[in-house]
Amino acid sequence: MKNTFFIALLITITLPAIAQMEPLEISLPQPMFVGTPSNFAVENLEEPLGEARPPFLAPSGTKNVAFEKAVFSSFEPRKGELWRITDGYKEATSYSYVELGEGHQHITIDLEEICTIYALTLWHYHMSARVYLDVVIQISDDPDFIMDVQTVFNNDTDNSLGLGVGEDFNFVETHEGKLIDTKGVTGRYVRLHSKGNTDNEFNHYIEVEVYGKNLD
Amino acid sequence: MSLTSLLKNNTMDQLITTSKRFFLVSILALFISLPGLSKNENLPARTAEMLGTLTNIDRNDTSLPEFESLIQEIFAGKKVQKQAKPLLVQFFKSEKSFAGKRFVLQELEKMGTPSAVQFMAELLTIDTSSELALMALQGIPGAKVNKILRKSIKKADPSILPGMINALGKRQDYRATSIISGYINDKNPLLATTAISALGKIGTPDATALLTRAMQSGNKQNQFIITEALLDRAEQLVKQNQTNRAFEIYNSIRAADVPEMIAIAAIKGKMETSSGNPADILKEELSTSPDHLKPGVIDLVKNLPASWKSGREFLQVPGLQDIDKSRLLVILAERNDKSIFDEVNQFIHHKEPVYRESAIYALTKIAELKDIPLLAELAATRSEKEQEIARGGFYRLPGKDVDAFILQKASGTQDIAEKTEYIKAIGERNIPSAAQVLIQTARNDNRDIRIESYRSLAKVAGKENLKELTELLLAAENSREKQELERTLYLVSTKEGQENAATEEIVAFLNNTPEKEKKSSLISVLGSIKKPGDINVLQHYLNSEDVDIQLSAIRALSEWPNAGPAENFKKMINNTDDLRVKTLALRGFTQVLVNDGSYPNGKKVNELLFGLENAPNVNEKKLVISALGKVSSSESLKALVDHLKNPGDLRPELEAAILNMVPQLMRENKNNTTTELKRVKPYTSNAEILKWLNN
Repeated sequence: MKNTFFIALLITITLPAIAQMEPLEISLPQPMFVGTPSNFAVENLEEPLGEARPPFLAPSGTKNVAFEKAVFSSFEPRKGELWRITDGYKEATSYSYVELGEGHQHITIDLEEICTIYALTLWHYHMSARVYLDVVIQISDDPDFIMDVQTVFNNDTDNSLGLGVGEDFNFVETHEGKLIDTKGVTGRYVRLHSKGNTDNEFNHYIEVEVYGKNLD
Repeated sequence: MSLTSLLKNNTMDQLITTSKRFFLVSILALFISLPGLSKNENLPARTAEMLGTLTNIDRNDTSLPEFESLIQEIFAGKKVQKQAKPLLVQFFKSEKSFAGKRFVLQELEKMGTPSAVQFMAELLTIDTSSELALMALQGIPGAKVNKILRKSIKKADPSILPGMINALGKRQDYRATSIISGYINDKNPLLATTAISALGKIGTPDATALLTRAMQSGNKQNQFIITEALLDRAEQLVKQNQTNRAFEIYNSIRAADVPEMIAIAAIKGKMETSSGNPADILKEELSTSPDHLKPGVIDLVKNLPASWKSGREFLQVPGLQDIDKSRLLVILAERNDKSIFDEVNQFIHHKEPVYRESAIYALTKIAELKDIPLLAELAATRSEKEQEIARGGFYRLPGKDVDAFILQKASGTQDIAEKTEYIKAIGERNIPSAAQVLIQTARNDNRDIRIESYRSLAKVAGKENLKELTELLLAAENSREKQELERTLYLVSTKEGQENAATEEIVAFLNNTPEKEKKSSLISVLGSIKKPGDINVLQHYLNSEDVDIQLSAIRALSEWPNAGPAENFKKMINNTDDLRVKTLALRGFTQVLVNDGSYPNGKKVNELLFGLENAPNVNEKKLVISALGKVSSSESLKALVDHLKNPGDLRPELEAAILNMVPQLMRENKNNTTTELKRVKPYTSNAEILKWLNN
């Protein structure tokens, strides 16, 4: 009798939480090539799924909180304009991407207020298949990323960026973008680092979407 | 007694009587021919000897001049020398020596005498030599060979029949037309296609008529070859200026049930050879062609003379579907055919997006000054794809009058979205002298208009606008606009040849602006420009009593291209208790040392070790360790190895830094590097480091 009561209580508590989770609606751009090539001379490369990415569940009301938010970069882009990174347009065209200089570069998105962030999707460049190197993504309340810095992704295995050794996989850029589960961290600023790619020394961004909710 | 001595003998006259004169002449002839007779008598032996040698040669290019003369001797007359022929026939019937046979036939081809030709004709019936014989015969010009080929065709070896038909075709032997036509429906596909092709090459009206009939009779199996032969023939006729005959061929092909590609080629041919208006042919085709042919027919519009600009007539052809009209609009617009404007305008409002997109594209190709407001409206209000298409046309429309019109509209239009498009167009078109208009619109009440103005100013403004741009930056209401304006100021300042003027203006404002946020903004711009002469200004603000201004100066100097600000940063690291100041100064200190390639390695390592000791937390230590890993020197390796003895939370980063520099150090000084690495062995289990040690 006692057990039955606890089970009923557990169901009562967890059901609303489960019911509030919904698949994120992530609109995808047109693919520019078929499949996910894996013939890159890159260690620690993620195996392609071989099928569409499964839906990502997030609390209902979660939206792209980075949409049309200000983007800053470590250096002035060589090509394109930073606002395009959060303009919602993610097709692989000659005008949709921003090119930053060679070597280690980063962009920072100011969400304008502290948000709970459940996931982010990143499209570096998907006109052709390539791998961006030393990708590190951090979230913080601090514009200088000094305090309360949370690293939600890091595949810099040799600490070449100085942000610590990471153990995440390298990944091939496709039209699906790279979805990163940020596990509900909070923060106002999202910083994305990289250090060139398998085709050239430059760093590119087409779009970054940050899925979260404003802290009420 | 020789003949000469006999003639010289004075007793001769006494011997000769009139009745015996004939006998004497006969004897004389016999004597004269004696040497020849002696050669003929040897001919079989010499021929046998030659063929024996030829049987054993294995190269086609063998030079045998003695045999060349023998072959000439054998085939010099109307008939081949009887004594040699059986030996030659036997040789050609044998399976031996391809090269030897080829040698003889090449000689015969060069000679081309009747006996040579006749002999080669006989070889056409011998399966071991027929192909070689045919090859040699083909090289001999003249009707005689044609006749022989025609006569031989029925008794020729079947394997060379296609070759013979092909040869007759190549030789354009019109007398062979009826013989060849007997093969165009042959069960052997090779024979049939060769015959069709040969008739096409013969090209006489009779041959062409035969092909046309074959095409019309529905010879599906060989239809492609037949029509290809006819098209080739028509092309030949066009080259010979016989366009009427070519038109007839094209017309007959078009009338037959032929594949789409052939039909389109025939229509194109008709357009090119018609004595009338080629556009009428296309109109007729648009009206009568089945749907699957329409795209190809529409594509032929591109072949009309450039001066023809009445494309609207096509759009009015009854029965055309929207997809056809849409294709026509694009192709006609690319020909700058403005007659289609009304139809383009209709399709711009089509319910299907794909037709709207095509129509907007067409509009961009035919647009004039009067159409700019329409393009601006489309760019402002449509879907993203349609907007981009409209903008593309908007930006590329040529003419100074277009620039003037856009400037006027950017100032005067009240509609926010359209005004924004005009402002965007100013930047994209890089309209000179537009800066004042943009500075006005940059003060607009609407944020979107202001931001678009800043972006266009980055492209069109010059040093004469720097003061106003700086004022705009100082008046910016929010961080987003401040960011846009800082970028604009940076881009304008770093335009070629403007760096000096730019920073003087900014420094003047910096000194006279009391508000710290504005000062910070200007410091940030100066830091982006990185003019060497401005380091003193920025260093001055490192000592500001206001921590926010101090932080702005640290950020501005953190990416300095050399170690110039390193000492300032070091002092700050030593002297401050403010975590933010200390952290940013440490980052700047580390970065400028890494940036400076001419800074001595030993000194650099010492400075970085200072940074490592004074880093406020583990995260910042990771940054310094990474920097140490980039300085490939024994000092750096030693320092890292020392730290690995007591690594704390930094083991992976220390090991990674060591591995970063080891390959280069091993190349430069293997002994020292190995000795240094051995020290670390008790403190690490990193497989890569151990691998280096074991190697």
